[in-house]
Amino acid sequence: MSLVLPILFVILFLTRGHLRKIRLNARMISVGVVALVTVLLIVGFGIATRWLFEQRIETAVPPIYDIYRRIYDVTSP
Amino acid sequence: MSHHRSILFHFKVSRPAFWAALSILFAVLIGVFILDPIWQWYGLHVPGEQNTKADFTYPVDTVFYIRNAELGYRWSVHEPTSIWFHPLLSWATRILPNQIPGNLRLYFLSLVSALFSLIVVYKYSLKVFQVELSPYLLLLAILVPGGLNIAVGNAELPALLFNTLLLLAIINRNSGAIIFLVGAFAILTKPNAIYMLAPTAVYGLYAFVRRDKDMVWRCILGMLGILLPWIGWIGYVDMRVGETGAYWQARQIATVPLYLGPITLVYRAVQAMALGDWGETLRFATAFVIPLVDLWLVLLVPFRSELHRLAGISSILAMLLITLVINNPNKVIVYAMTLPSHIAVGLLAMQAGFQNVFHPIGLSRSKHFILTLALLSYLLFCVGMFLFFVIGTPLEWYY
Repeated sequence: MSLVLPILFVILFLTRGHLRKIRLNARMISVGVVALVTVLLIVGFGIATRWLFEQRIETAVPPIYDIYRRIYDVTSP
Repeated sequence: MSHHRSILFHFKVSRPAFWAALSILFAVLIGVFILDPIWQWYGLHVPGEQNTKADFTYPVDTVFYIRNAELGYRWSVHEPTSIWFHPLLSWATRILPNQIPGNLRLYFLSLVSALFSLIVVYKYSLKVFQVELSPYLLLLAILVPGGLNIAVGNAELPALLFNTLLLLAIINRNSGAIIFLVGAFAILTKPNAIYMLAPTAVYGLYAFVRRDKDMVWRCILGMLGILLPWIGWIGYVDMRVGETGAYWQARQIATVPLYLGPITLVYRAVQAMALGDWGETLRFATAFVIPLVDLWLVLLVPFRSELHRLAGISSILAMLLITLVINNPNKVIVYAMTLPSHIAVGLLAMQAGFQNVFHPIGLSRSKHFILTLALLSYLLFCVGMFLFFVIGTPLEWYY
């Protein structure tokens, strides 16, 4: 996570000549990013649904954690 | 007489502060007459403590800020509900007269923050949108997903205030000291201020490409304003606990690591939707749907500059990314309320929708139909989120 910004800075520094040319298409960047995120989530949900059915899980799986109940377990005497 | 009346009317309606204040009053009435009886009936209690009842002035984890104010911090990794929470709101609660109960002091601070938040979000909207947001619309702020949080005591509204001030200070090219200070206040209120690193970076990178050095420095100071006090607070917590890494150790309890694969949260969401109960299903669904709806709204509304649109998108993506990285779908409905773009875009979408429904000037019949349908869908979504907040809070559906 902490490396994302420095990497972005370097990429931008190296490509700023090109970036000036595509500045007018900034709207397309927004549309592209939002479309990409939406597609990735849809694909992710699709893959996850397939896994679920392949594993033939038929009973409710308890939550991996229950945040406050777990804290309560930790903190209760 | 009629002239005076029209001046008075004009004065009132042209003041966003007036409508913001009216919105807060409206929210207080909803809190007292609707939320409180319903939540008492459902037996709202402190998270993890079934027998400790709470009310609308300190629902969910607000009580932990009050405890930090009244009892002081308990410096131990075994007290995560103390050292999890950043200090500014607890300090401010402690400063107020202690003859007043702690929950009312924090509720008061939350309401004052909400009032100023609505005003600065309105000012932010004037800066970034191509069309002017009507101040009347502030009355509908409680309808924006999570907006009902205005009616209850919480730390999200103070966070929204500082986050919006940070973006405004950068856009307005205020002095570096002010930008740094606002960033520091934001992170010391809630860790959610780190969402603002993304739009600050977008403004900074754009300025960098344009060789606007002053703006680059302002953006760097904004980021440092968030990061340095955060590092300072982490170090202070570790020092008081007497253990390096104590801050993160306490936080890990609220984090499910990505050991099950890169889309674990998505997989768990599908599991919950297929096999879980209503609460689990809605917890995961809202974690994805609220940011996605926001992202699409940001694409649809007219911005003055594409830069502001990208900045808005980046802050919503930061929230979504952090949800995925910490693998925790909890509280997205209230965390969204710390984003200036969430509430501003929601209000503008409502305004555009209403204008198209009631004054469909220059629109073909098919476009008018589509926009009416879009408004109705968004309003339906908002009403659904309103009900989710009302029922989901006492039933622990989102935390």
